[in-house]
Amino acid sequence: MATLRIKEPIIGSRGAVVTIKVNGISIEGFTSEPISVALYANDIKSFDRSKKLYRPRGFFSLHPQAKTVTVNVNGIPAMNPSEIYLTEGLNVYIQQKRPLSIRFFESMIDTSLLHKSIVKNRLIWPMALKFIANSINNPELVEYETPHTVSTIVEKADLVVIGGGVAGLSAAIEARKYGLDVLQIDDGVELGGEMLCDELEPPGISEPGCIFARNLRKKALELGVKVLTKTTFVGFFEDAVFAFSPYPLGGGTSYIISAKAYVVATGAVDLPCIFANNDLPGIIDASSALRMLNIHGVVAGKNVAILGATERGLRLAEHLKKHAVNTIILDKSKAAGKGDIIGGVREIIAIGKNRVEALEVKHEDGELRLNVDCVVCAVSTNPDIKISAQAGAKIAYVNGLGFVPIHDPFMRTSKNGLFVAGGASGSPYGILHVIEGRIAGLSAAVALNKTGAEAERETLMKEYRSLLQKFGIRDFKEKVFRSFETGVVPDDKIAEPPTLFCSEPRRDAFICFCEDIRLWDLHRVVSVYGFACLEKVKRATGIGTARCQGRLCLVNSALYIAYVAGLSPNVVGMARQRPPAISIPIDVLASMEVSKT
Amino acid sequence: MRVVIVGSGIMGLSSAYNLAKLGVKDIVILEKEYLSYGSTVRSASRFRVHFWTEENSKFAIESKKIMVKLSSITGWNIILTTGGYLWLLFTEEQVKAFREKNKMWERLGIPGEFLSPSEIKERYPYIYTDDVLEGFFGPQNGSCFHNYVAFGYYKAAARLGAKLFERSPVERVLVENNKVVGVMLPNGKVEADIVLLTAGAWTDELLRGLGIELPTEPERKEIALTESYKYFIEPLIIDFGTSAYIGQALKGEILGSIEVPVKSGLLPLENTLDFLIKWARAVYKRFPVLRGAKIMRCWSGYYSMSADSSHIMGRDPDWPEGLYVAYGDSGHGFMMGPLIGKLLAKNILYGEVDELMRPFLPTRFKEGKLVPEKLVIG
Repeated sequence: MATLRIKEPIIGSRGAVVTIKVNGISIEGFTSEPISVALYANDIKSFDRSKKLYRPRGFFSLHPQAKTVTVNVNGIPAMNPSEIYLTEGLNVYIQQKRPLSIRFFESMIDTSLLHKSIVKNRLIWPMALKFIANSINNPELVEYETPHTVSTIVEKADLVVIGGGVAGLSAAIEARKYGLDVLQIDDGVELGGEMLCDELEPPGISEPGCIFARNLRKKALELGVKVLTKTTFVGFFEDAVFAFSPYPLGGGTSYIISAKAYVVATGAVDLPCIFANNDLPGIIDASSALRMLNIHGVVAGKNVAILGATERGLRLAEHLKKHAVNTIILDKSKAAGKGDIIGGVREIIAIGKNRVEALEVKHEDGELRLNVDCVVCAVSTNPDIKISAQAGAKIAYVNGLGFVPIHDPFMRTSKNGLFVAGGASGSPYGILHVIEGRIAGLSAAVALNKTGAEAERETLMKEYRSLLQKFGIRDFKEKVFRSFETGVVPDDKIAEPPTLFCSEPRRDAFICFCEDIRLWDLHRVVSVYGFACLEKVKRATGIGTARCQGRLCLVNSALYIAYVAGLSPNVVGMARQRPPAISIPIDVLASMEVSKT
Repeated sequence: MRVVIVGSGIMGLSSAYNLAKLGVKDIVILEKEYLSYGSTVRSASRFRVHFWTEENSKFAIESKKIMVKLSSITGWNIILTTGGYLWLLFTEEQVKAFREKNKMWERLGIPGEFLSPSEIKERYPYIYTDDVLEGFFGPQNGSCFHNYVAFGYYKAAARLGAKLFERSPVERVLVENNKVVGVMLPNGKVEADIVLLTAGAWTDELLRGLGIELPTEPERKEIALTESYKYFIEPLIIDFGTSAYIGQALKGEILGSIEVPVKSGLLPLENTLDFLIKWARAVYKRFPVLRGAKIMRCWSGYYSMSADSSHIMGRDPDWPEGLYVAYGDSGHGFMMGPLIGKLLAKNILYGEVDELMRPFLPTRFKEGKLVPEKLVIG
């Protein structure tokens, strides 16, 4: 097997070497790696088959909340391979079969289960029903020994910072300086977020990102910020706030949290690009490509196509080139085309059987075929709004930022005691994350009546506004601030969604990887049934209702609906976000004590 | 003649469809949020025919007949299954009461089956039955996909000319000379000859605005849903001890709920960890195979509870002329909806009160002729 490992990861250590079995075959990995990365490094890219069409599926994103594939680990079904880290002797089973009957019925399978052709015949339906139920590719539940222990830990703090990137770290440091008890929660192995994966200088910062992030982390720990890693902030229930760590395997540890203020610094989500066969294994997001390279020492491929000549795409290309990876960048804008950037791209078709092997690209001046083994989507990101929306903060679409929690220059949201910062508030990567984090931390201190915090915050405001100007997002952010003041959402319209590389609603361009919902399904619901509200489209197609809870599909869907229907994304709306942010085993909930808070 | 229907849940939509089918050209449906925002799309999407009272059972039997045909009527596949309902009974009294009721159900042509714990184990090996005394299985009951029931009715009604206006919250019903003349929206009024209130849990407020008090109140209920697993739980299983229920959707998600005491009223549609923990505990004990199943999402909706836990439909002659209601369904509105719309349409147009409908008139409360329904799930 070809290996995609480079000699050493740039940052941090790999931990101990362990051997795990994948479908009975031994492979080597390291204890610092989640299963997804170990498989990818050993050139196993397809982990699972999709739910209805049995298409090969790998991970799109390594983020634990972007759970689109599952594997069987030690006999436990439906585990998230991006959430479980390697231990010696781990037994992983991945699904690679596709039943013959599916091949035969493929053209008939209606992924929204409408099945119009057979529905009118009431005699055929009961038979069709059985067939559908049996042929949906869901993991089988088996009984296994669950680690049923009372594992609830109560954590009290003045401030909880959700997310351990530089925005979160900066917020924690400022708040800690003013004497707040700070608890920081992150779902990665270590704090530092995306900047920890950056050996270049981030915009506005004059040292390599990894060094900057590491120093911030050191400072936070020295100041006594309490940290929970490998832990996901699950959400705001009416009676409790809850976080969860998926260990021990098969069960987990739960945390009941009680705090006076929250800073949401959950970063941004890379939006999948929409093109033919965009679900093939080997098509991943920019954050995963960076993380694999610099934290785990695994290159995403030998010939990598990067979609989007954005700051993000260009930086990634620079990283990959340092390790002798051939990169080519594709962008919609004609003006971007120069050097190894192909501009004016209209349409992309991915080709490959069980993994991406080539791209057929149609651009304004012709067509070309690129032999690639990896495609990275770096066209557009959207703030991760899951937690802030769930908490009740108002969300609106603002051109240039995406769907953002509406906030003021002090990073306060419409929900009392909830602050946002960094990518989660729509700001671009770099020094802005740091300053927004600091402002959010100070705002939390102000909210808790700490003297001096307000004055210090005031001194940051001028710098903040000039940085917004420098990064070219001042107008967009001012719109957000104005909306916070007036309560009126902007009626921004959009042109074509930035992620769309499809000239027609194709049946092989996927919007939702969990439920196999394609551009064609979405288009039909909008144009034939006339539904132009995301909540209704969600109920008609099932979009955003499966494992990843809409993390990867809802924003793309909302933008596409707005585009097809000619409406503002704010009219289409965002779907309601509900807890839990990641799935919690029944075993864990059953062993919990109801808190009296 | 213009009919204004307030609320676009199954009650409003099936009424709109049936009115349109009977030739009403001018139907306006006003919805405060978006199509079927309320309880219909938040329901557990199940239907049953076994009710404690004969009136409800008879009503449900006829309603099911429509539900079975609904896919062909509307063209939206409602994905109907008849996996049955299984009640797990734990005490002699419960078994006795079900045996007594089964005599009535046999008479109505919907006999159920009593299963011993070993028979339950044989059919459904995933249920822990050691503490179960007996099970009652109602094979006539089943599930259908609530979203497509609502959307199908809407599309069918729209094809016949009914018009839906979303984000149009009705503030009050306008009455002149003891006759309804329209409804008031924040930005103006809509004239009407007939106003049908099918706003579920929000109906109380509108009636109160007219000085009409019926013994109904909203109760918030929560539902939890797991990730998708291979389809294996065919019936809806109700634990009569803890009142927890679970069922599996065809797509694989396992869904269920448990009764948690809450204050009534229009509580915010949020979720509590308390509910999740209680449901998880009930499932942990009853279904060992589900211990590792992962809860993916939860949501909440309202039961519009009436004093006797039966739905209210039609009008009271003392009310202003032209005012009708269909609500107070106490958690089984989704299954009764198809027939409610059909009978109500005839009632509105021809003044006809069907025998099936008569027990559910709003006048029953002041006349003291209640339909005390005890079999409320969730």
